[in-house]
Amino acid sequence: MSAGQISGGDDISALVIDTGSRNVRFGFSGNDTPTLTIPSVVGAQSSGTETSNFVGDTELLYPHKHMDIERPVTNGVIQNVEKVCEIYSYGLNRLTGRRNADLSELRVSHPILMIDPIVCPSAVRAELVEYLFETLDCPAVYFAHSAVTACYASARYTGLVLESGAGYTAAVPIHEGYALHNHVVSSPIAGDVITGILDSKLNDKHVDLLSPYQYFKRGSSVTHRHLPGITDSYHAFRRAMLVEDIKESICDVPDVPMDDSTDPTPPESYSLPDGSTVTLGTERLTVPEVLFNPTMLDTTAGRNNNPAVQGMVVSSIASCDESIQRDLFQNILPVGGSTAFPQFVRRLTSEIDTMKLPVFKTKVHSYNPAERGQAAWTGGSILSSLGTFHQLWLDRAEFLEHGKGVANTKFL
Amino acid sequence: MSWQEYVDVQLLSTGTLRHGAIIGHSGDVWAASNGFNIDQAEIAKIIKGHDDFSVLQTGGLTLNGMKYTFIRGDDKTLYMKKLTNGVFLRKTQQAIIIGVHDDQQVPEPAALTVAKLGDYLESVGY
Repeated sequence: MSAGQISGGDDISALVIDTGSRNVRFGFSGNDTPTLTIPSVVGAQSSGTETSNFVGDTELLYPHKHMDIERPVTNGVIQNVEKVCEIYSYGLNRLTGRRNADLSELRVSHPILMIDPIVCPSAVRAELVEYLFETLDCPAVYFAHSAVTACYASARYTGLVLESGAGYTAAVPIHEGYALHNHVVSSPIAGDVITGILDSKLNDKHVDLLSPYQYFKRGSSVTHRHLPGITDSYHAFRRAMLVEDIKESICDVPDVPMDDSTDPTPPESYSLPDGSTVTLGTERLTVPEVLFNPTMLDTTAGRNNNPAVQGMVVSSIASCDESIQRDLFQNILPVGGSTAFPQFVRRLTSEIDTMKLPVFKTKVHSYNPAERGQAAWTGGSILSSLGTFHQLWLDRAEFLEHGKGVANTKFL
Repeated sequence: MSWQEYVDVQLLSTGTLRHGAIIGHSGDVWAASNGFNIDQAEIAKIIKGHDDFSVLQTGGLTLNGMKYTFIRGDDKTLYMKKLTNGVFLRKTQQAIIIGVHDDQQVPEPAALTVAKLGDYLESVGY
């Protein structure tokens, strides 16, 4: 019996989940954008032998005492399947409108499309498929890589997807709908690294980055508030959220190579929640420059000789079969939040052109920058709503017959 | 079961493949489906390609008149395709199973069919 007969074809709306290092996106197949985006973070509060897990914006923005922030997804790899499933259960519960108090009773009757990063080992899929079929009682499942679905979102089957989010950057050649795994070039330099560099620059300027739980404000006077029992990991989590917002609001990549010795750039300011402002000059541009020039980093990441994004694109394409290189060069697709800097596409184009490739014309396509962080989710929504797609799902009968390893065999 | 029966029953009659064959590591064809012609030069590439992907990555593989491009490979299974046609090459202890699908079938169930036969042959020492 094929999966299509069980799932019912076009009538059944699938759920689409895209797991990132910073956020997990949940939504319904057929929609343009995810319905729910929550941090890929679990707040673990232990009292005695019991641990409560807090998931989602409402709980995480409240400074619970003794709550340690845990990140089950780091650099694109799902390290802790049990914790990430807490995030999935919370998200699916909200998405399906059930509002179950007890998440262990959650059951899902929709097919689920799971989007995972290409750098995540396929063994993780085997663990996730057990959760989906055995815990959630899901009828059918499909796994796709974020680079592939992002390519579909750009209305293409072939192209070089340059995905850069929070945890990793990867150049992934896609040929007729399939990712060429053996030609992927990846690097850990992405959004989180940029945030870290910006954080240390702000530290050097002695800027107090106070989140609302850390101060009282009466009129224009601000007094610090020290709540007892808040963990260091929670303070770091809230601080990083603020630095990320500063990065996304006023930073950009320079349109030519730049370092701290270049002429000063016109400064821009950002208003912090407590009313104070932070002003950045050249650092606005030299911090994200690390994507194009990782040797600027004097941390361990830089010393590992990570490639620059333009080098990743070119070496990935150059390693592919000659007959497909032309199509890849003409369809370079930056996706993911860290490619959404205003000048990113222009800079990437000029860097690739300067690498003086002999025969090939290059074209870097600009997917709507406001939605670039969700491109992979949107592609998953498109993929799961195609009529022809419904014969490809992995259903429970196949899972019971072949075991959890089928998640690795069936999906290419 | 004879090798021809393995190809006709275990591979082809599932409806997930257009052609199938089982070859030995030394290059001899144990069985092939009706109308499936594999020439010796390509067999040599398949055998060498499992250990060194670059043999198949540069120049591809031509089977039965169709030229396939290398998509992915791990230590057991390689997948190559051309448009909506594809071929799975699954290596076992003594053999290599070749499963070809065209535009009348889709890759995912074909992958399962080839994997199932490969796992079975390995469990009985082939």
